[in-house]
Amino acid sequence: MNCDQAFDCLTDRHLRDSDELNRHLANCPRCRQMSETLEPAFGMFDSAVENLPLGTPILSQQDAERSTGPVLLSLESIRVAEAAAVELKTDAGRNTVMPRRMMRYAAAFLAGTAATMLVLAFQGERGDGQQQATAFQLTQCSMLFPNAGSQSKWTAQSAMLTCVACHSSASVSGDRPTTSGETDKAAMSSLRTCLACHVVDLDDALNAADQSHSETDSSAHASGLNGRTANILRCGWLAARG
Amino acid sequence: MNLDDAQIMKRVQGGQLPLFDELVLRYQESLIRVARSKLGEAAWAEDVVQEAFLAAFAARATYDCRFSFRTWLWTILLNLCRRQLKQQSRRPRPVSDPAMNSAAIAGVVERANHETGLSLLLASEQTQLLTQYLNELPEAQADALRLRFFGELKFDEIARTMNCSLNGAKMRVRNGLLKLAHLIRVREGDTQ
Repeated sequence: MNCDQAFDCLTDRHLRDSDELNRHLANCPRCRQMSETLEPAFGMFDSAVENLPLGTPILSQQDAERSTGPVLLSLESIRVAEAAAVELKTDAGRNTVMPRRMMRYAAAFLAGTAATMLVLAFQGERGDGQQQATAFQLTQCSMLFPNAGSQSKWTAQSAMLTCVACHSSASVSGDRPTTSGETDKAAMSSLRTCLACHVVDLDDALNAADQSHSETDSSAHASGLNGRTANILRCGWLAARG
Repeated sequence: MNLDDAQIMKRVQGGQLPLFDELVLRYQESLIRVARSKLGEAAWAEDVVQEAFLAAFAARATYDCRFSFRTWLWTILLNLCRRQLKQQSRRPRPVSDPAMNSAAIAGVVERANHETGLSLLLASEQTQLLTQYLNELPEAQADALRLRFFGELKFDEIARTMNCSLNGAKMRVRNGLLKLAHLIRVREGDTQ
């Protein structure tokens, strides 16, 4: 038994004489002192509990059924009960959610993790020597620059540019040949990655993809995209990284 | 009956209204003790406790088993007591001695078969003194003490009823007890 539990027992008249409490008091001068200090108050409460006249209680179900009557029950007291219920319900809900401070820490942690993953993913792809975003493409990234270019909101076009800028920039920009099956696969993977997570209209997304690829002279790409619309729903980036 | 409060309330909400009597039987004594201590007048205490039960019954639809019925009832009672005290402060107090009104006398007489008149008088005086001392404490501390000793609530229930933290509830009880013990010692010293 610790001192906190000892205080619980001291203030409970049913437990005040328990062996466990007595053992604690015998070994803890601080609690013993507290017990002696509070003894007059305990005595007074014990006496009051035993002797406080209870009067003539009280209520039966018949009384309760008459509760809509005006004699005892006022609208105000029902409001008191309802307000108490709302308050307790709110408290009960609050207990199940994360405290605000914890939420702030969690948000900071997640943001840091996301940023780290982004940097690592970007560096990893650079390291492969296969894909390297140009400065212009990076500025198109809606994730890094929410107001990049003329895109003020998250559209299919911005989503695609965001993704492709990092993950498969070479295939779109035309730095590498886009007719090879390998590059086409990489581009598709990038698009799936982006579009699977960010909610955009599929048709809109495909049109945007077609338009973007035609601008970069990649007709093979465009035909590949059209044939794989179902794959867009699946995140290739996440799947590749387990 | 083996049903817990939440189960009873669920059935009451479902239409088994007589079951509410069980809740009344479970809590009426401790509620009356607290109300009596807070209001100082037995008749007022009975009225407020009865009103608290009726209010809980009338608002039964708003009860949710995510919170404890007991805590809800105590919260209602404390709020109704506060309202009653406000109303009392606007009205003249009855002339009768709060400790010796008819209900109190009835209670005393009932116990007279087993106890001497002197000990009962002493006990009554003690009770009256305690009520007086509690009224001299800060309201939050006095309420916490009433809930702990008369209501026999656990500290977490006190915390929820009084809308404070668990540590806050413990501090209120601890500080209240220390002040109360000090008051008792000082007054006893004065009378000797």
